[in-house]
Amino acid sequence: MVTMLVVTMVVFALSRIQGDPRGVLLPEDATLKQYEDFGKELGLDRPVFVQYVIYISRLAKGDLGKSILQRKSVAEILRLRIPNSAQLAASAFIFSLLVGIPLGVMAALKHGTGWDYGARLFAMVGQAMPVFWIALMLIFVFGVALGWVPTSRKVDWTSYILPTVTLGWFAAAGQLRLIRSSLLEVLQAEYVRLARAKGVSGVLVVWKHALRNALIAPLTFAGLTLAGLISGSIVVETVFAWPGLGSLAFQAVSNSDYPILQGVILLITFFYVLANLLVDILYLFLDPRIKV
Amino acid sequence: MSITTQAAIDARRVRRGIQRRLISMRRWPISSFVVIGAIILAAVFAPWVTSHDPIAGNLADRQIPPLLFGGSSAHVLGTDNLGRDILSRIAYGARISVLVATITLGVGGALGSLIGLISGYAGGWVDELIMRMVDIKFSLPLILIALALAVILGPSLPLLLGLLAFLIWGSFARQARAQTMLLKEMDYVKLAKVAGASPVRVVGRHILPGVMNTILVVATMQVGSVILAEASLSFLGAGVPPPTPSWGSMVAEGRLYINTAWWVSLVPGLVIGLLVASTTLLGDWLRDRLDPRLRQAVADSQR
Repeated sequence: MVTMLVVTMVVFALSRIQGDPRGVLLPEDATLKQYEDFGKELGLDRPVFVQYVIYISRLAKGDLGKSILQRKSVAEILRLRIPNSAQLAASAFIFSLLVGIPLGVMAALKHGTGWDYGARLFAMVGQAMPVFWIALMLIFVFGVALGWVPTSRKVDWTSYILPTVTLGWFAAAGQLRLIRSSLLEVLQAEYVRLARAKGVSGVLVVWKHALRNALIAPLTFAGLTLAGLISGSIVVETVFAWPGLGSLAFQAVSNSDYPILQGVILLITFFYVLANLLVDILYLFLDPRIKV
Repeated sequence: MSITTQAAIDARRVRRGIQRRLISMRRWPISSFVVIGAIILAAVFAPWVTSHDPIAGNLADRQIPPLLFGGSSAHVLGTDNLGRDILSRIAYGARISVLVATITLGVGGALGSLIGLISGYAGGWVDELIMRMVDIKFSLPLILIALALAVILGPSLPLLLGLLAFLIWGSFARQARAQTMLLKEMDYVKLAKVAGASPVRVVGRHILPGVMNTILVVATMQVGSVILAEASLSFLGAGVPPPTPSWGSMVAEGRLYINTAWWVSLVPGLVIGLLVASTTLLGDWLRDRLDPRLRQAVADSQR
Protein backbone atom coordinates (compact mmCIF):
# COMPACT_ATOMS: atom_id res chain seq x y z
CA MET A 1 0.00 0.00 0.00
CA VAL A 2 2.70 2.45 1.09
CA THR A 3 4.78 1.34 -1.86
CA MET A 4 1.99 2.15 -4.26
CA LEU A 5 1.55 5.59 -2.69
CA VAL A 6 5.25 6.35 -3.00
CA VAL A 7 5.18 5.22 -6.60
CA THR A 8 2.31 7.55 -7.41
CA MET A 9 4.35 10.40 -5.95
CA VAL A 10 7.48 9.48 -7.88
CA VAL A 11 5.49 9.10 -11.05
CA PHE A 12 3.73 12.39 -10.51
CA ALA A 13 6.97 14.21 -9.74
CA LEU A 14 8.54 12.73 -12.86
CA SER A 15 5.79 14.10 -15.01
CA ARG A 16 6.17 17.57 -13.50
CA ILE A 17 9.93 17.99 -13.85
CA GLN A 18 9.42 17.31 -17.50
CA GLY A 19 8.08 20.79 -17.93
CA ASP A 20 5.11 22.04 -19.86
CA PRO A 21 3.74 19.46 -22.28
CA ARG A 22 1.94 22.20 -24.19
CA GLY A 23 5.17 23.32 -25.81
CA VAL A 24 5.57 19.93 -27.45
CA LEU A 25 1.98 19.31 -28.40
CA LEU A 26 0.60 22.56 -29.70
CA PRO A 27 1.62 23.93 -33.08
CA GLU A 28 4.13 26.75 -32.96
CA ASP A 29 1.62 29.37 -34.06
CA ALA A 30 -0.94 28.52 -31.34
CA THR A 31 -2.59 31.56 -29.78
CA LEU A 32 -2.38 32.35 -26.09
CA LYS A 33 -6.09 31.50 -25.78
CA GLN A 34 -5.54 28.03 -27.23
CA TYR A 35 -2.60 27.66 -24.92
CA GLU A 36 -4.66 28.38 -21.82
CA ASP A 37 -7.64 26.30 -22.87
CA PHE A 38 -5.42 23.36 -23.48
CA GLY A 39 -3.77 23.90 -20.11
CA LYS A 40 -7.19 23.82 -18.44
CA GLU A 41 -8.06 20.62 -20.26
CA LEU A 42 -4.94 19.00 -18.86
CA GLY A 43 -5.50 20.55 -15.41
CA LEU A 44 -2.28 22.53 -15.53
CA ASP A 45 -3.80 25.78 -14.27
CA ARG A 46 -4.05 24.65 -10.66
CA PRO A 47 -1.37 24.31 -7.94
CA VAL A 48 0.83 21.25 -8.05
CA PHE A 49 -0.52 19.80 -4.82
CA VAL A 50 -4.10 20.09 -6.03
CA GLN A 51 -3.07 18.45 -9.27
CA TYR A 52 -1.65 15.57 -7.28
CA VAL A 53 -4.80 15.16 -5.19
CA ILE A 54 -6.93 15.19 -8.33
CA TYR A 55 -4.59 12.69 -9.87
CA ILE A 56 -4.85 10.34 -6.90
CA SER A 57 -8.61 10.55 -6.63
CA ARG A 58 -8.95 9.80 -10.34
CA LEU A 59 -6.54 6.92 -9.94
CA ALA A 60 -8.68 5.45 -7.18
CA LYS A 61 -11.52 5.28 -9.65
CA GLY A 62 -9.33 3.49 -12.17
CA ASP A 63 -8.96 6.56 -14.36
CA LEU A 64 -5.38 6.78 -15.59
CA GLY A 65 -5.89 9.86 -17.69
CA LYS A 66 -5.62 10.30 -21.41
CA SER A 67 -2.67 9.74 -23.68
CA ILE A 68 -1.39 13.10 -24.87
CA LEU A 69 -0.41 11.90 -28.29
CA GLN A 70 -3.08 9.33 -29.09
CA ARG A 71 -5.95 11.14 -27.36
CA LYS A 72 -7.25 7.81 -26.08
CA SER A 73 -7.66 6.76 -22.47
CA VAL A 74 -4.50 5.30 -21.00
CA ALA A 75 -6.41 2.47 -19.38
CA GLU A 76 -7.62 1.39 -22.78
CA ILE A 77 -4.19 1.54 -24.37
CA LEU A 78 -2.73 -0.43 -21.48
CA ARG A 79 -5.49 -3.02 -21.70
CA LEU A 80 -4.56 -3.71 -25.31
CA ARG A 81 -0.91 -4.19 -24.39
CA ILE A 82 -1.21 -6.20 -21.18
CA PRO A 83 -2.06 -9.57 -22.80
CA ASN A 84 1.00 -9.41 -25.03
CA SER A 85 3.33 -8.67 -22.15
CA ALA A 86 1.64 -11.18 -19.89
CA GLN A 87 1.94 -13.91 -22.51
CA LEU A 88 5.61 -13.17 -23.01
CA ALA A 89 6.31 -12.99 -19.28
CA ALA A 90 4.36 -16.19 -18.66
CA SER A 91 6.13 -18.14 -21.37
CA ALA A 92 9.51 -16.85 -20.20
CA PHE A 93 8.60 -17.80 -16.64
CA ILE A 94 7.59 -21.31 -17.67
CA PHE A 95 10.76 -21.57 -19.72
CA SER A 96 12.84 -20.56 -16.71
CA LEU A 97 11.19 -23.23 -14.55
CA LEU A 98 11.30 -25.96 -17.19
CA VAL A 99 14.96 -25.30 -17.87
CA GLY A 100 16.20 -24.00 -14.53
CA ILE A 101 14.81 -26.61 -12.17
CA PRO A 102 15.80 -29.81 -14.04
CA LEU A 103 19.23 -28.45 -14.84
CA GLY A 104 19.70 -27.32 -11.25
CA VAL A 105 18.66 -30.73 -9.88
CA MET A 106 20.93 -32.45 -12.38
CA ALA A 107 23.86 -30.19 -11.48
CA ALA A 108 23.39 -30.92 -7.78
CA LEU A 109 23.04 -34.69 -8.23
CA LYS A 110 26.02 -34.92 -10.57
CA HIS A 111 28.00 -32.49 -8.46
CA GLY A 112 31.53 -31.96 -9.73
CA THR A 113 31.06 -33.71 -13.06
CA GLY A 114 30.95 -32.34 -16.58
CA TRP A 115 27.16 -32.03 -16.35
CA ASP A 116 27.55 -29.79 -13.35
CA TYR A 117 30.10 -27.58 -15.10
CA GLY A 118 27.96 -27.42 -18.22
CA ALA A 119 24.91 -26.31 -16.25
CA ARG A 120 26.93 -23.73 -14.37
CA LEU A 121 28.35 -22.37 -17.61
CA PHE A 122 24.80 -22.01 -18.94
CA ALA A 123 23.91 -20.13 -15.77
CA MET A 124 26.99 -17.95 -15.95
CA VAL A 125 26.25 -16.91 -19.52
CA GLY A 126 22.65 -16.14 -18.63
CA GLN A 127 23.58 -13.95 -15.72
CA ALA A 128 26.66 -12.21 -17.04
CA MET A 129 25.66 -11.44 -20.60
CA PRO A 130 23.50 -8.37 -21.15
CA VAL A 131 19.96 -9.31 -22.12
CA PHE A 132 19.99 -7.14 -25.22
CA TRP A 133 23.20 -8.76 -26.39
CA ILE A 134 21.74 -12.25 -26.04
CA ALA A 135 18.72 -10.99 -27.97
CA LEU A 136 20.84 -9.67 -30.82
CA MET A 137 22.99 -12.77 -31.02
CA LEU A 138 19.93 -15.05 -31.07
CA ILE A 139 18.48 -12.88 -33.81
CA PHE A 140 21.69 -13.12 -35.78
CA VAL A 141 22.17 -16.87 -35.41
CA PHE A 142 18.61 -18.19 -35.62
CA GLY A 143 16.93 -15.40 -37.51
CA VAL A 144 19.49 -14.10 -39.93
CA ALA A 145 22.10 -16.82 -40.43
CA LEU A 146 19.87 -19.89 -40.14
CA GLY A 147 16.57 -18.20 -40.96
CA TRP A 148 14.58 -20.56 -38.71
CA VAL A 149 12.44 -18.11 -36.78
CA PRO A 150 11.01 -14.64 -37.25
CA THR A 151 13.03 -11.96 -35.50
CA SER A 152 10.54 -9.24 -34.76
CA ARG A 153 6.91 -8.49 -34.06
CA LYS A 154 4.24 -10.95 -33.12
CA VAL A 155 3.18 -12.99 -36.12
CA ASP A 156 2.44 -16.56 -35.08
CA TRP A 157 3.61 -18.90 -32.33
CA THR A 158 7.15 -19.03 -33.65
CA SER A 159 7.51 -15.34 -32.84
CA TYR A 160 7.45 -16.32 -29.19
CA ILE A 161 10.57 -18.46 -29.33
CA LEU A 162 13.36 -15.90 -29.38
CA PRO A 163 11.86 -13.35 -26.94
CA THR A 164 10.97 -16.18 -24.56
CA VAL A 165 14.44 -17.66 -24.56
CA THR A 166 16.05 -14.24 -24.21
CA LEU A 167 13.88 -13.17 -21.33
CA GLY A 168 13.77 -16.59 -19.70
CA TRP A 169 17.48 -17.33 -19.80
CA PHE A 170 18.40 -14.83 -17.11
CA ALA A 171 15.66 -16.12 -14.81
CA ALA A 172 16.53 -19.74 -15.58
CA ALA A 173 20.15 -19.04 -14.67
CA GLY A 174 19.25 -17.68 -11.26
CA GLN A 175 16.79 -20.50 -10.68
CA LEU A 176 19.40 -23.10 -11.62
CA ARG A 177 22.04 -21.74 -9.29
CA LEU A 178 19.64 -21.45 -6.40
CA ILE A 179 18.17 -24.94 -6.82
CA ARG A 180 21.62 -26.40 -7.17
CA SER A 181 23.01 -24.84 -4.02
CA SER A 182 19.96 -25.42 -1.86
CA LEU A 183 19.61 -29.03 -3.03
CA LEU A 184 23.28 -29.66 -2.30
CA GLU A 185 22.71 -28.31 1.18
CA VAL A 186 19.56 -30.35 1.80
CA LEU A 187 21.19 -33.54 0.54
CA GLN A 188 23.65 -33.21 3.41
CA ALA A 189 20.88 -32.91 5.99
CA GLU A 190 20.39 -35.68 8.48
CA TYR A 191 16.85 -36.61 7.55
CA VAL A 192 17.91 -37.18 3.96
CA ARG A 193 20.83 -39.33 5.06
CA LEU A 194 18.46 -41.22 7.33
CA ALA A 195 16.03 -41.85 4.50
CA ARG A 196 18.88 -43.19 2.42
CA ALA A 197 20.09 -45.35 5.27
CA LYS A 198 16.60 -46.80 5.63
CA GLY A 199 16.91 -47.96 2.05
CA VAL A 200 14.59 -45.51 0.33
CA SER A 201 15.42 -45.48 -3.36
CA GLY A 202 17.54 -42.65 -4.76
CA VAL A 203 14.83 -41.12 -6.92
CA LEU A 204 12.34 -41.09 -4.08
CA VAL A 205 14.79 -39.49 -1.70
CA VAL A 206 15.43 -36.69 -4.12
CA TRP A 207 11.83 -36.06 -5.05
CA LYS A 208 10.09 -36.58 -1.77
CA HIS A 209 12.58 -35.67 0.91
CA ALA A 210 15.13 -33.36 -0.58
CA LEU A 211 13.50 -31.37 -3.35
CA ARG A 212 10.51 -30.31 -1.33
CA ASN A 213 12.69 -28.60 1.21
CA ALA A 214 15.11 -27.34 -1.37
CA LEU A 215 12.28 -25.55 -3.17
CA ILE A 216 11.63 -22.95 -0.51
CA ALA A 217 14.42 -20.54 -1.43
CA PRO A 218 13.86 -20.83 -5.18
CA LEU A 219 10.19 -20.09 -4.62
CA THR A 220 10.95 -16.62 -3.32
CA PHE A 221 13.19 -16.18 -6.27
CA ALA A 222 10.42 -17.28 -8.63
CA GLY A 223 8.18 -14.56 -7.27
CA LEU A 224 10.88 -11.99 -7.74
CA THR A 225 11.66 -13.17 -11.25
CA LEU A 226 8.03 -13.01 -12.25
CA ALA A 227 8.05 -9.33 -11.40
CA GLY A 228 11.55 -8.88 -12.79
CA LEU A 229 10.42 -10.43 -16.06
CA ILE A 230 7.77 -7.77 -16.44
CA SER A 231 10.20 -4.92 -15.97
CA GLY A 232 13.05 -6.73 -17.74
CA SER A 233 10.84 -6.96 -20.77
CA ILE A 234 11.48 -3.31 -21.65
CA VAL A 235 14.74 -4.12 -23.39
CA VAL A 236 13.56 -7.40 -24.87
CA GLU A 237 10.32 -5.95 -26.19
CA THR A 238 12.17 -3.02 -27.70
CA VAL A 239 14.66 -5.26 -29.49
CA PHE A 240 12.02 -7.64 -30.83
CA ALA A 241 9.42 -4.92 -31.55
CA TRP A 242 7.02 -6.85 -29.32
CA PRO A 243 3.75 -4.97 -28.83
CA GLY A 244 3.72 -5.08 -25.03
CA LEU A 245 4.05 -2.76 -22.07
CA GLY A 246 7.83 -2.50 -22.25
CA SER A 247 7.99 -1.23 -25.80
CA LEU A 248 4.99 0.99 -25.02
CA ALA A 249 6.94 2.58 -22.17
CA PHE A 250 9.96 3.07 -24.39
CA GLN A 251 7.84 4.78 -27.05
CA ALA A 252 6.09 6.88 -24.42
CA VAL A 253 9.44 8.06 -23.13
CA SER A 254 10.66 9.07 -26.56
CA ASN A 255 7.34 10.79 -27.35
CA SER A 256 7.17 12.47 -23.89
CA ASP A 257 3.71 10.99 -23.50
CA TYR A 258 3.81 11.01 -19.73
CA PRO A 259 0.28 9.77 -18.89
CA ILE A 260 1.15 6.50 -20.62
CA LEU A 261 4.49 6.29 -18.87
CA GLN A 262 2.79 6.91 -15.52
CA GLY A 263 0.32 4.15 -16.27
CA VAL A 264 3.03 1.64 -17.17
CA ILE A 265 5.15 2.39 -14.12
CA LEU A 266 2.15 2.12 -11.80
CA LEU A 267 1.01 -1.10 -13.40
CA ILE A 268 4.44 -2.73 -13.20
CA THR A 269 4.86 -1.76 -9.56
CA PHE A 270 1.40 -3.12 -8.84
CA PHE A 271 2.34 -6.47 -10.38
CA TYR A 272 5.50 -6.43 -8.37
CA VAL A 273 3.75 -5.89 -5.06
CA LEU A 274 1.19 -8.52 -6.00
CA ALA A 275 3.86 -11.08 -6.88
CA ASN A 276 5.56 -10.56 -3.53
CA LEU A 277 2.28 -11.04 -1.73
CA LEU A 278 1.64 -14.28 -3.61
CA VAL A 279 5.07 -15.57 -2.65
CA ASP A 280 4.42 -14.83 1.00
CA ILE A 281 1.17 -16.77 0.85
CA LEU A 282 2.76 -19.71 -0.98
CA TYR A 283 5.48 -19.75 1.65
CA LEU A 284 2.92 -20.53 4.32
CA PHE A 285 1.87 -23.67 2.48
CA LEU A 286 5.37 -24.94 1.81
CA ASP A 287 6.88 -24.24 5.21
CA PRO A 288 4.44 -24.65 8.08
CA ARG A 289 7.05 -23.33 10.50
CA ILE A 290 6.48 -19.80 9.29
CA LYS A 291 3.71 -18.12 11.24
CA VAL A 292 2.10 -14.84 10.28
CA MET B 1 35.51 -21.94 33.91
CA SER B 2 34.38 -25.55 33.96
CA ILE B 3 36.06 -28.26 31.98
CA THR B 4 33.08 -28.99 29.73
CA THR B 5 32.87 -25.47 28.39
CA GLN B 6 36.59 -25.42 27.81
CA ALA B 7 36.28 -28.64 25.83
CA ALA B 8 33.42 -27.22 23.84
CA ILE B 9 35.43 -24.14 23.02
CA ASP B 10 38.39 -26.27 21.95
CA ALA B 11 36.17 -28.40 19.76
CA ARG B 12 34.73 -25.33 18.14
CA ARG B 13 38.19 -23.92 17.55
CA VAL B 14 39.30 -27.12 15.83
CA ARG B 15 36.18 -27.15 13.66
CA ARG B 16 36.73 -23.53 12.67
CA GLY B 17 40.31 -24.29 11.75
CA ILE B 18 39.23 -27.11 9.46
CA GLN B 19 36.57 -24.95 7.85
CA ARG B 20 39.04 -22.19 7.24
CA ARG B 21 41.51 -24.53 5.62
CA LEU B 22 38.75 -25.96 3.40
CA ILE B 23 37.79 -22.51 2.25
CA SER B 24 41.32 -21.43 1.51
CA MET B 25 41.70 -24.58 -0.54
CA ARG B 26 39.29 -23.13 -3.06
CA ARG B 27 41.50 -21.94 -5.83
CA TRP B 28 42.21 -18.29 -6.29
CA PRO B 29 40.06 -16.96 -9.13
CA ILE B 30 43.10 -16.19 -11.26
CA SER B 31 41.13 -15.81 -14.48
CA SER B 32 38.99 -13.15 -12.77
CA PHE B 33 42.05 -11.22 -11.70
CA VAL B 34 43.49 -11.44 -15.21
CA VAL B 35 40.32 -10.19 -16.91
CA ILE B 36 39.66 -7.40 -14.44
CA GLY B 37 43.31 -6.38 -14.45
CA ALA B 38 43.44 -6.35 -18.24
CA ILE B 39 40.32 -4.19 -18.45
CA ILE B 40 41.62 -1.71 -15.89
CA LEU B 41 44.97 -1.55 -17.70
CA ALA B 42 43.17 -1.01 -21.01
CA ALA B 43 41.19 1.81 -19.44
CA VAL B 44 44.25 3.52 -18.01
CA PHE B 45 46.44 3.07 -21.07
CA ALA B 46 43.70 3.41 -23.69
CA PRO B 47 45.70 5.78 -25.96
CA TRP B 48 48.52 3.22 -26.15
CA VAL B 49 46.33 0.22 -26.91
CA THR B 50 45.92 1.23 -30.54
CA SER B 51 46.86 4.29 -32.51
CA HIS B 52 43.33 4.68 -33.85
CA ASP B 53 41.04 7.48 -32.77
CA PRO B 54 37.99 6.04 -30.91
CA ILE B 55 35.64 8.80 -32.10
CA ALA B 56 36.77 9.95 -35.55
CA GLY B 57 36.53 7.06 -38.01
CA ASN B 58 37.69 6.62 -41.55
CA LEU B 59 34.68 5.98 -43.76
CA ALA B 60 36.84 4.16 -46.27
CA ASP B 61 37.45 1.48 -43.61
CA ARG B 62 33.79 0.73 -42.83
CA GLN B 63 32.73 -2.66 -41.51
CA ILE B 64 36.07 -4.41 -41.71
CA PRO B 65 35.69 -7.82 -40.05
CA PRO B 66 38.01 -8.93 -37.21
CA LEU B 67 41.45 -10.32 -38.01
CA LEU B 68 40.44 -13.99 -37.83
CA PHE B 69 37.44 -13.45 -40.11
CA GLY B 70 39.17 -11.94 -43.08
CA GLY B 71 40.14 -8.59 -41.64
CA SER B 72 43.53 -6.92 -41.45
CA SER B 73 46.01 -6.60 -38.63
CA ALA B 74 45.46 -2.85 -38.66
CA HIS B 75 42.08 -3.42 -37.03
CA VAL B 76 42.37 -6.58 -34.95
CA LEU B 77 38.73 -6.55 -33.83
CA GLY B 78 37.41 -4.95 -36.99
CA THR B 79 35.68 -1.61 -37.51
CA ASP B 80 32.11 -0.39 -37.12
CA ASN B 81 29.78 1.27 -39.58
CA LEU B 82 31.61 4.61 -39.35
CA GLY B 83 35.01 3.00 -39.83
CA ARG B 84 36.01 3.37 -36.19
CA ASP B 85 38.40 0.83 -34.75
CA ILE B 86 36.50 -1.46 -32.36
CA LEU B 87 39.50 -2.38 -30.22
CA SER B 88 40.21 1.28 -29.65
CA ARG B 89 36.58 1.98 -28.74
CA ILE B 90 36.56 -1.00 -26.37
CA ALA B 91 39.62 0.40 -24.60
CA TYR B 92 38.12 3.88 -24.27
CA GLY B 93 34.77 2.34 -23.34
CA ALA B 94 36.54 0.56 -20.49
CA ARG B 95 37.25 4.00 -19.06
CA ILE B 96 33.54 4.71 -18.82
CA SER B 97 32.78 1.33 -17.29
CA VAL B 98 35.58 1.53 -14.73
CA LEU B 99 34.71 5.12 -13.90
CA VAL B 100 31.01 4.37 -13.54
CA ALA B 101 31.62 1.27 -11.42
CA THR B 102 34.10 3.02 -9.12
CA ILE B 103 32.09 6.17 -8.51
CA THR B 104 28.68 4.50 -8.15
CA LEU B 105 29.99 1.83 -5.82
CA GLY B 106 31.90 4.45 -3.85
CA VAL B 107 28.98 6.82 -3.44
CA GLY B 108 26.11 4.33 -3.36
CA GLY B 109 28.08 1.89 -1.23
CA ALA B 110 29.17 4.49 1.31
CA LEU B 111 25.72 6.01 1.65
CA GLY B 112 23.95 2.65 1.74
CA SER B 113 26.36 1.26 4.34
CA LEU B 114 26.02 4.36 6.49
CA ILE B 115 22.25 4.08 6.37
CA GLY B 116 22.50 0.40 7.22
CA LEU B 117 24.80 1.10 10.17
CA ILE B 118 22.43 3.73 11.54
CA SER B 119 19.43 1.49 11.00
CA GLY B 120 21.00 -1.52 12.65
CA TYR B 121 22.48 0.35 15.58
CA ALA B 122 19.54 2.62 16.34
CA GLY B 123 16.85 -0.04 16.07
CA GLY B 124 13.26 0.86 16.97
CA TRP B 125 11.24 3.12 14.73
CA VAL B 126 14.31 4.47 12.94
CA ASP B 127 15.16 0.96 11.84
CA GLU B 128 11.56 0.28 10.90
CA LEU B 129 11.34 3.42 8.79
CA ILE B 130 14.64 2.87 7.01
CA MET B 131 13.94 -0.76 6.23
CA ARG B 132 10.54 0.17 4.86
CA MET B 133 12.26 2.65 2.57
CA VAL B 134 14.62 -0.07 1.39
CA ASP B 135 11.68 -2.37 0.68
CA ILE B 136 10.03 0.32 -1.39
CA LYS B 137 13.27 0.98 -3.24
CA PHE B 138 13.39 -2.69 -4.21
CA SER B 139 9.87 -2.66 -5.59
CA LEU B 140 10.28 0.38 -7.84
CA PRO B 141 10.75 -0.35 -11.54
CA LEU B 142 14.00 1.60 -11.43
CA ILE B 143 15.17 1.03 -14.98
CA LEU B 144 11.91 2.52 -16.24
CA ILE B 145 12.18 5.52 -13.96
CA ALA B 146 15.83 5.96 -14.90
CA LEU B 147 14.93 5.80 -18.56
CA ALA B 148 12.21 8.39 -18.08
CA LEU B 149 14.51 10.72 -16.13
CA ALA B 150 17.32 10.39 -18.63
CA VAL B 151 15.06 11.26 -21.51
CA ILE B 152 13.39 14.15 -19.67
CA LEU B 153 16.59 15.74 -18.39
CA GLY B 154 18.74 14.65 -21.29
CA PRO B 155 21.29 11.86 -20.88
CA SER B 156 24.45 12.86 -19.05
CA LEU B 157 27.22 11.23 -17.07
CA PRO B 158 26.35 12.78 -13.66
CA LEU B 159 22.72 11.73 -13.99
CA LEU B 160 23.78 8.20 -14.91
CA LEU B 161 26.06 8.03 -11.88
CA GLY B 162 23.32 9.27 -9.57
CA LEU B 163 20.78 6.80 -10.92
CA LEU B 164 23.12 3.85 -10.62
CA ALA B 165 24.14 4.84 -7.10
CA PHE B 166 20.46 4.92 -6.20
CA LEU B 167 20.04 1.51 -7.81
CA ILE B 168 22.50 -0.18 -5.47
CA TRP B 169 22.35 1.54 -2.07
CA GLY B 170 19.59 -0.78 -0.84
CA SER B 171 21.69 -3.95 -0.90
CA PHE B 172 24.43 -2.23 1.10
CA ALA B 173 21.94 -0.92 3.63
CA ARG B 174 20.37 -4.35 4.14
CA GLN B 175 23.63 -6.22 4.60
CA ALA B 176 25.33 -3.56 6.73
CA ARG B 177 22.25 -3.48 8.97
CA ALA B 178 22.18 -7.24 9.42
CA GLN B 179 25.87 -7.35 10.33
CA THR B 180 25.55 -4.36 12.67
CA MET B 181 22.73 -6.04 14.54
CA LEU B 182 24.91 -9.09 15.08
CA LEU B 183 27.90 -7.10 16.28
CA LYS B 184 25.84 -4.81 18.49
CA GLU B 185 25.15 -7.73 20.83
CA MET B 186 28.81 -8.65 21.15
CA ASP B 187 30.41 -8.23 24.56
CA TYR B 188 33.19 -5.95 23.37
CA VAL B 189 30.66 -3.53 21.92
CA LYS B 190 28.59 -3.57 25.09
CA LEU B 191 31.73 -2.98 27.14
CA ALA B 192 32.66 -0.03 24.98
CA LYS B 193 29.23 1.43 25.64
CA VAL B 194 29.53 0.86 29.37
CA ALA B 195 32.95 2.54 29.27
CA GLY B 196 31.15 5.63 28.06
CA ALA B 197 31.96 5.69 24.36
CA SER B 198 29.62 7.88 22.31
CA PRO B 199 27.38 6.19 19.71
CA VAL B 200 29.49 7.66 16.91
CA ARG B 201 32.61 6.22 18.48
CA VAL B 202 31.03 2.83 19.13
CA VAL B 203 29.82 2.54 15.55
CA GLY B 204 32.94 4.02 13.98
CA ARG B 205 35.61 2.32 16.04
CA HIS B 206 34.01 -0.93 17.12
CA ILE B 207 31.28 -1.89 14.66
CA LEU B 208 32.41 -0.49 11.31
CA PRO B 209 35.63 -2.56 11.17
CA GLY B 210 33.51 -5.67 11.60
CA VAL B 211 31.12 -4.59 8.87
CA MET B 212 33.86 -3.73 6.37
CA ASN B 213 34.20 -7.31 5.11
CA THR B 214 30.49 -7.49 4.42
CA ILE B 215 30.58 -4.18 2.58
CA LEU B 216 33.53 -5.30 0.50
CA VAL B 217 31.77 -8.53 -0.49
CA VAL B 218 28.54 -6.74 -1.38
CA ALA B 219 30.50 -4.18 -3.41
CA THR B 220 32.23 -6.87 -5.44
CA MET B 221 28.96 -8.64 -6.08
CA GLN B 222 27.29 -5.41 -7.15
CA VAL B 223 29.91 -4.50 -9.76
CA GLY B 224 28.15 -6.83 -12.20
CA SER B 225 24.74 -5.25 -11.66
CA VAL B 226 26.16 -1.77 -12.10
CA ILE B 227 27.95 -2.69 -15.33
CA LEU B 228 24.86 -4.41 -16.70
CA ALA B 229 22.55 -1.56 -15.71
CA GLU B 230 24.87 0.98 -17.30
CA ALA B 231 25.00 -1.12 -20.44
CA SER B 232 21.20 -1.47 -20.55
CA LEU B 233 20.66 2.26 -20.13
CA SER B 234 23.30 3.03 -22.74
CA PHE B 235 21.69 0.50 -25.06
CA LEU B 236 18.32 2.25 -24.67
CA GLY B 237 19.98 5.58 -25.34
CA ALA B 238 19.80 6.85 -21.77
CA GLY B 239 23.40 6.33 -20.73
CA VAL B 240 26.54 8.24 -21.56
CA PRO B 241 25.71 10.49 -24.53
CA PRO B 242 27.43 9.70 -27.85
CA PRO B 243 29.97 9.86 -29.38
CA THR B 244 31.77 8.84 -26.15
CA PRO B 245 32.33 5.11 -26.55
CA SER B 246 30.46 2.98 -24.01
CA TRP B 247 30.11 -0.77 -24.38
CA GLY B 248 26.35 -0.73 -24.12
CA SER B 249 25.89 1.89 -26.81
CA MET B 250 28.41 0.05 -29.02
CA VAL B 251 26.15 -3.00 -28.94
CA ALA B 252 23.20 -0.73 -29.74
CA GLU B 253 25.01 0.84 -32.70
CA GLY B 254 25.73 -2.60 -34.12
CA ARG B 255 22.08 -3.56 -33.90
CA LEU B 256 21.19 -1.95 -37.21
CA TYR B 257 23.99 -3.74 -39.05
CA ILE B 258 23.53 -7.16 -37.48
CA ASN B 259 22.92 -8.68 -40.93
CA THR B 260 26.19 -7.53 -42.42
CA ALA B 261 28.53 -6.71 -39.53
CA TRP B 262 27.73 -8.98 -36.57
CA TRP B 263 31.07 -8.30 -34.88
CA VAL B 264 30.16 -4.69 -34.11
CA SER B 265 27.66 -5.92 -31.49
CA LEU B 266 29.33 -9.20 -30.63
CA VAL B 267 32.65 -7.88 -29.38
CA PRO B 268 31.54 -5.26 -26.82
CA GLY B 269 28.86 -7.64 -25.51
CA LEU B 270 31.46 -10.33 -24.95
CA VAL B 271 33.63 -7.88 -23.06
CA ILE B 272 30.72 -6.87 -20.83
CA GLY B 273 29.94 -10.51 -20.16
CA LEU B 274 33.58 -11.35 -19.38
CA LEU B 275 33.86 -8.48 -16.93
CA VAL B 276 30.57 -9.29 -15.20
CA ALA B 277 31.38 -13.00 -14.98
CA SER B 278 34.82 -12.22 -13.58
CA THR B 279 33.55 -9.88 -10.89
CA THR B 280 30.82 -12.36 -9.96
CA LEU B 281 33.35 -15.16 -9.54
CA LEU B 282 35.61 -12.87 -7.57
CA GLY B 283 32.65 -11.91 -5.40
CA ASP B 284 31.73 -15.56 -4.76
CA TRP B 285 35.29 -16.29 -3.76
CA LEU B 286 35.57 -13.23 -1.50
CA ARG B 287 32.27 -14.08 0.14
CA ASP B 288 33.29 -17.63 0.92
CA ARG B 289 36.54 -16.33 2.34
CA LEU B 290 35.33 -13.35 4.29
CA ASP B 291 31.67 -13.74 5.04
CA PRO B 292 29.94 -17.07 4.31
CA ARG B 293 26.79 -15.87 6.06
CA LEU B 294 26.06 -13.67 3.05
CA ARG B 295 25.47 -16.65 0.78
CA GLN B 296 21.72 -16.68 1.31
CA ALA B 297 21.28 -12.97 1.92
CA VAL B 298 22.82 -11.84 -1.33
CA ALA B 299 20.72 -14.28 -3.31
CA ASP B 300 17.66 -12.78 -1.66
CA SER B 301 18.55 -9.22 -2.48
CA GLN B 302 19.37 -9.89 -6.11
CA ARG B 303 16.86 -9.76 -8.83
